[in-house]
Order: sequence, then structure tokens, then C-alpha cells
Amino acid sequence: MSTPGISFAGKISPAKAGDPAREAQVERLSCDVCIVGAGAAGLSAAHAAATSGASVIVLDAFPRPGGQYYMQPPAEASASISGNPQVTAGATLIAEAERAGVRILSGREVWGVFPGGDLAGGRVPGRGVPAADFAEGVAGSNGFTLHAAGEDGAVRVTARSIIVATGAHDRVVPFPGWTLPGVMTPGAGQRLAKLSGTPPGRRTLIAGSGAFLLPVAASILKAGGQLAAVLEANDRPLAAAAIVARNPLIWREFARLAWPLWRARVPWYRGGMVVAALGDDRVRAAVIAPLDGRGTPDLTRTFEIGDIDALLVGYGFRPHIELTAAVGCAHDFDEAAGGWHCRVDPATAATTVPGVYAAGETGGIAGARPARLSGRIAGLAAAESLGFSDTSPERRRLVARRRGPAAFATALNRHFAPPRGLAAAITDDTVMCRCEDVTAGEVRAALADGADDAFGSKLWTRAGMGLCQGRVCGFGLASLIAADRDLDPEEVGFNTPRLPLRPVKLSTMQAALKE
Amino acid sequence: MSTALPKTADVVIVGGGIVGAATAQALARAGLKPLVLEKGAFGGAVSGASLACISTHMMDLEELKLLAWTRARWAELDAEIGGFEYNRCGQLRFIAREADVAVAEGWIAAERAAGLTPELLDPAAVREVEPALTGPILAASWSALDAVVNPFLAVRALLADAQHYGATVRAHTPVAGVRTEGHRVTGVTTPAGTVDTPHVVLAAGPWAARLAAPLGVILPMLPRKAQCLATVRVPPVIRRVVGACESAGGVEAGYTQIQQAREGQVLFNTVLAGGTAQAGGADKDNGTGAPAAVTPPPVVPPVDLAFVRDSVETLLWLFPGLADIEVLRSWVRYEAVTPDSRFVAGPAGPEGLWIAAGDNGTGFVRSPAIGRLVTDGILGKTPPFDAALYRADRFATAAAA
Amino acid sequence: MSAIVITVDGDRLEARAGMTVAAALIAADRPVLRRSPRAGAPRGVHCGMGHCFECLVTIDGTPGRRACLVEVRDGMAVETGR
Repeated sequence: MSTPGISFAGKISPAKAGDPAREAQVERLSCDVCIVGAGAAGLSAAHAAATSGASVIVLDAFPRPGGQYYMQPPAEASASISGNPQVTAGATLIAEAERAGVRILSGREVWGVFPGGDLAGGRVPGRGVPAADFAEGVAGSNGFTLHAAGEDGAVRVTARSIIVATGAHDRVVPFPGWTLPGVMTPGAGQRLAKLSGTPPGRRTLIAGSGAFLLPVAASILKAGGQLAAVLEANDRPLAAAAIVARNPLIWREFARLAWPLWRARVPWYRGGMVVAALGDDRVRAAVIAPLDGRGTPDLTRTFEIGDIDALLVGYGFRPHIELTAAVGCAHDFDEAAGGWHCRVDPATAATTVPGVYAAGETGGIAGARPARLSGRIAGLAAAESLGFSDTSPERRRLVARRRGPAAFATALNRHFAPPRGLAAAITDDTVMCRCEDVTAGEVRAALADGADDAFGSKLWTRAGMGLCQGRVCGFGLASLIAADRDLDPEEVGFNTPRLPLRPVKLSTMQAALKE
Repeated sequence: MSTALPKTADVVIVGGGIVGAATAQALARAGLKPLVLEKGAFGGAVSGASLACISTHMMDLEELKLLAWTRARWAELDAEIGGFEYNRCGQLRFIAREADVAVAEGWIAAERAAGLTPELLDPAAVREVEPALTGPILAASWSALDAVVNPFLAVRALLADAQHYGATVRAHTPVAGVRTEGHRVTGVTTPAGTVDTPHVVLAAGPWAARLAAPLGVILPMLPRKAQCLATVRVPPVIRRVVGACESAGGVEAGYTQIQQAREGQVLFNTVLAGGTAQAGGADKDNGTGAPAAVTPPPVVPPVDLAFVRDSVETLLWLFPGLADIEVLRSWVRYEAVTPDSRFVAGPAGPEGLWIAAGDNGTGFVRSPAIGRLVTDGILGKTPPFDAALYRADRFATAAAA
Repeated sequence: MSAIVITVDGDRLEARAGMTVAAALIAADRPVLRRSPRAGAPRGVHCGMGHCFECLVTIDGTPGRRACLVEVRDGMAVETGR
């Protein structure tokens, strides 16, 4: 049945004639405020809403709450992992939220959000209905139904309001060899090192741009890994130093992270980017090209960094907007906020859809401190709008406190904007869509046949149609097409996510949608 | 690919779905230089919703001649061009209700009388043909010569062949209107400029009526939401196209199609309790006395939950062994529905205007024939099947009668 | 930290409780987790946070599970597609 060596994502159970399908269990819950994401923003929002008197459920995809910044290693972890101040602060935040009555459901990924709190969204006629009768609201004040499933079971939560605090993911643009095992995002390296105490490899090269490369490097050293080098695309260290110098709040953290790198004599290169990863069955070396003043790699002056078994490449972060896009919130593009992000009212964290709030990176990349503050604002405002305590004076103070660190983050994002020429390294045999194994040559051929955009080339090549639904390749495809068409990547926009937001078993879907 | 819009064309085809692509290919192979203008992505609207079954079974008895021709034509196209995953896998139509056995027998008798070879299978025989179909069905009809194609790749292959023979294609080029002088078509207007042409083919699916209305051509066509779900890639399990037997009550009483793509995804859709209202109920008065065209919404909405529920229920009822596989994605498109469920294909209104729209959700199979009808019309030839069935003025005639 | 034992493609492997399957495999210098669907090229952990579905392995008989989201358990059987 199966093809040797090639993994299918699903298993067919043998069934005899007349056997009904195996039924799944879906727990049904309800609350005032349902929060998606148990990171810095989500936990702060949960604690704030619960202390205002609201009943709160938090859904989180990971086995343990904490998100990326407040990542919680397992209880059995060694003191060297669990002893750091971020872990301690995260543990406090989780404990406070739970003490306030918050129910955190880990290991549950949201696969659907629908307006209407009564049941699964109400029965509406399907195929036979003419478009003129189209009357589905994208959202409403009647609340929401959230469907989530994962390692720890399936749930269906009805909530009066929702707060989306789904964080961000690394921004990656394909280059030859980026699918080799050992080539990962800095975020992946950070999770391996901080959560499991495992460096991503014996000897790692970290490359890309942004302040995040520094903590990743520090974590890898702490987990016992060696660093071949850190390669920062940006070539204006004095400007970066000036931004840091203006923000005394982060001096101590900066020193804590930079010290071990300095002590380990890790080479720190500037003004170049990885244009290829080399290796047969895993990464062995990286090819680096210097960047010119316009951010384009000079492919005639490359050099190699060898003897590596891990290569982390990422150019900052993109907000996770699948959920807010799925419920119809308005989004804006701003390079200094990580690109497309959910539009939020700073005073309340409300989105353009009534009853939907967005906290943390979903509303624009700003880092952990602003995320905590915006989470608290969202939690207080969501509870207040449901009739719980008036917290407007506190929210005003929080908005004022958030201004400084948010401006710092914006300045850093702007400084570390990805080089314009990232797509220049893409060759015709570079894989663009990892899920469906689609190369740049195939995408370019579709463009030459008349497909004119990401959607058109997706239909003809399957690029973006696979398991990740374009989350990983979306920005790379946009960059490739923009380069081909002489457009700006932002003009290519983003695809509206469709049901399900994550793959979900047929049996779970069936049980979840039962009246 | 150059992006400048040509100034002239022998024929402008409005709409780059399968009908526009097939028409462009037929015209280009006949020696004309057609220009295909698509408002979005090729095959991204109606054709993208299709599960592209190439079938003659349980379709329309009056159209059997056209259907037999077009089913054979698809096989030829596979041999001549290929590249669109043509698979003569056969089609099963399952029967869930006692009353539908007679319906199936009626279809089978009539089709066999016309020289086709469908047959009725009992559940044991069904499992010989489709082993994973273990659900408690009563019987199924079986049309062994039916096939399936990849709808996206079929559009691409036909457009590529058309371009090889001299056609030009442009995506993201919406046609705002058809220009006329006296009672003759002279061109089209687009945001990228005008194109002079003596012939315009409206192959714009549920958007065709909007373009035809200003020319005094009223097409009683309504958009209907078509939805589909797909699972992750799984090992080969479903061999055939599996659909519901047409119920007493017609397509609207229930509809199902299930198949596995060559790449391994199970594609499926079901509407158990369909709506009604194709019969012009949604027409609005636009103040000119003529009914305004109804077009799909500008922003495509998500799938209906009831549709998802019905589709998952039906799939697992038929194939309980799939319970543990995951649904990956869903999509929605709009198809064009006519009062008699047939295409409109042929001349209409001013000289040089041609209609090729009205897929009724089963347009994929017919598209080469619709392309042939229009091409023969433009060349002044007689098509190899009954053109009268598709005349644009048939509804006016029916209303007057 | 308590040591537990899992099997990977039949080989016994020591891991620490609480670490992810992805980390256990990387720590054991086994970065190839599967083959890509069309080219059959080797693939491993990429995003590390559940978004990219590159780290799919079969765990205790269930295919398509993300190694980066599942924590190891004593006696767990992991099969890669390498």
C-alpha cells in the first residue's frame, strides 16, 4: 500500500462491511473569554480577565504553556535549563493565572473558529442556495465557537469573546539546500536548546538578521553546543548600538546574553547572507555572499563556512494572523511590525471584529514586554466589555507604559529589516514549497505559462497547497513572484486561511460538528 | 511572458476557466488568433471547484450525443497533449434509499438504449470494484468508462496548447464591457486598454450575465455556491469516482462526489439537504425594467458548516476506514446555474457576441464540446451535435410559449 | 533528569523525560526524519514549533505526528521515514 521511504500523513484503518466509523470524543466547554495562545500575551490576558471576574479558558498548541519567551522546560529538567530568569518569570505568570481561576488547555491546536456561541455555527443550506441569499456573518456579538484538537484530546469551546495571542514565526526565504536536515529556523534552535537542553547540532552557524540571533546563540552555548559563527545581514552595528544605548531597560539582558558569546570568542560576521547550504543527506557547510548597499547578495564573491551540522537562518518574525484573518479582522502591512499584522485599537486591543481582541505579536512584532502589556490590556478590556469591572484607568496607564518598549521594538525591526535581495539566491532547482516539493523552476514555468500570481501558480504547481498551507513558503513565494514581476512582496498580499486552520481528523471533525 | 495587452484579436474570450481554455484551443487549432482575458487566475473561479469527472452517466438523456462525443474528446486530448492526470477510473453512484433503485434502473435502461454501458451492482459487486467502500449502501450504478482529470492542470494544458497554436492569454485582466457599433461587436474594454475584435465569447461562468445584460442579452443564470474538502495525502484507498445516485427529486435532493487525487488527497463534497431556488428567485430589479444580473459575492465566503458536517458524515458512512485521516483544506467557488440545467452556448444579441457559460456544476466534461460549438459557429460550420439545446434565446421562447 | 528509553527504527535510544521527540533524535545525531513526497529528498526539523510539518514521524504506530510537539515517553516507538 505505502510507497517505501515516502511518508504519508494519514493511516487507513481496515474496515469490514457495515462497520461504522470509529467515533471521537470532543469535550464541550464554555467560558466568558477564550484565549488562543499561552505565551507572554495570552497568559497576561488570561490573568487580567480572570481577576476582573471573567471565566477564562486558554487553548495552546504546545505540551506546556509559556509560549516562546516564557518557554517552560519539563519538571525533570536540569537546573541549568530551568534556572534562568525567563523560565522563573514564566512559571510565576502561569501560577498566577491558574490561581485566578484560568483553565489552561495545553496540546490543543485551534482548527476552526466560528461566530455564534449557541452550537457549531447554526445550520445553513448549502449548494442549492443562490449567492444573493448569502447571510453568514463573519462574526457577531453572539460569541464564538472554537474547535481545537491535539495530543491531549479535542475540545469545543463556546466563548463570549476571544483574544488571539498566537505569537509569531520566523521569516524565512528559500535558498538552495534549505531543505537539508540540520537547516532550521532560529526559533527551532531556541526551542531545542531552551526546552530540551539539546543544541540543534554539534557545531551551528546562526545567520539572518535581528536581535533574536543573540539569545539563540546564548542558548546554544548554554546547552553545550559550539557555534561556528553568527552572521548578521545588517552592516550598521553603530546604529544598532545607538538603539540599544537609548533603552537602559534592556542593558542588563543584553549584557547577560552577549557575555557568553564574547567569552567563547564566537566570530560575528556582518553584511552577508547565506546563499546555499551544502551537504548530501544533511547540512555540512554554508555558502555566504556579501550584501551590497541595496541588500543584494554578490554571488561572485562567496565563501564557505564548513564543518557544521546545523544552520539556523531567519530574518526576523512574521505575526501569526491565521486566526484573526479567518474571522475577518482587518490587517495592515508595516515592515516595522513584521509585515502583515492584525489592526488593533491600542487602548483596548480590540480588532475590527466585535468580540475579537488581538494581543502580543499578532498585532505587530514588538517583543515580550509589550506583549505582556498588550495582553493585560486585552484581558481587562475584554472582561470590561462583558460587564465585569471598569478598568479604564489601569488600561490608560498600561498603554503609556507600553509606548517606550514598543517604540524600541519598532526601531529594532526597522533597523534589522530583511535585505531586499533575499530572493536572489533562489535557483531553478531550489525547493520553494517544502510540503509539496515544488521547485522555483516549476513556479517560474507556471508564471511563464500565464499564471500571474501566487494563487495562479499554486493551482498549477501545488506550491502552498500542502500540510503547512503556505505558512512556511508564503513569504518566499511572494518574494520570488515579486522579483519575477518587479513588484514589492507586500503587493502579493496573503491568502485568507480556510477551514481547517490545522489538519484535523475526520472523526474529530464529525464529533465536533454534531448538534 | 510579455504583459502588454494586444491591440487586436480574431476572437476575445472572456474567462480563462476550462470553457474559455477549451474554446481558445479549438479556435487556435482552427487557425484563428484568440485572446483569453481572465479577471483573476486561470481556472481559479468556477473550474477550481470542479472535481472534473468526465462522465456520461446520470447527466442528461437529451445530451447523450454531446456527452459521448466530449468523453471521447477528453481521451483524445490526453493522448494528444496529456499532462492533466487523465484517469479512466470509472464512476460508482451509490444508492442509499430503496426509492432510488428505480431511479437508477431508469437511467441505466435509457443510457444502454443509447449504446452506453452502465450497470447496476449489488453491495458485494461494489466492493469488488471499490474495496474500501464498506458502508451500508443498497446498491450502486457503475459506469466503467467514466474518467477524471485534474481540473487545474487541464486548464493549464489546454491554454498551453492554445498558445502553441497562436492564442494569447492574460490573467488578472478583467473585461469591463463589450463594445459595439450598430448591431456589431467591435471590441472589449479592460483597465489595461481596449482590444479590437469582431468576436467576443463570454465564457465567464456566473459573471457572463453581467457582461451580456448591457447588450440587451438577458441570461437567466444564477451563481450557486460550490464547496469542497480535501484530506492530507494518504496511501491509495479510493480507486473510483464515487457519487450519489441521483435521487428522486433531482440533484438538489442530495449530492455527493468523492475521489482520491493522484497525489493522494481524498477530495469530497456532499450536500444532503440542498436548497432550492435556482428559478430566478434572486433576480433584482435594476430600475431599467430588465432584471439585473446576479453575480457571486466579491469576497468568497468560507465553507458552510452544514456542508462540512454533511460531507464528513457521508464520507465516513461510505468509507469508515478513513476516520483517522485528517482534513487539510476546504474551498468555495461559484458555478452558474440555468433554469434547465444546460449550458448557454451560441450566438446572442449583437453580431459577433457568443455565449459559452452555464456549467450547472457539471460543466467540466462538456467544455470541449462547448468550445467546439462556439468555434463551429464562428467558422460557419455545423457542429456534430444538436446546437438547438444550448441556444441563448430558448428561455425567452419558453417564457413566451 | 530521569533517563528513559525509546526505540527509533528499532534501535534503543536513551532520552531525558520531557524532551521532545525531535530533540531526542537530534541529540542522538539522527537528523533525517523522513523523505519528501515527490523527490524523496531527506528532511528534518525545520520550524521546531509545529507550523511546518517537516518533522512528521510515526509514533507508536500513528503516522503523521510532529516530532517537535510530542514529548518522549518511556517505551515509545518512533519510526522515521528516512
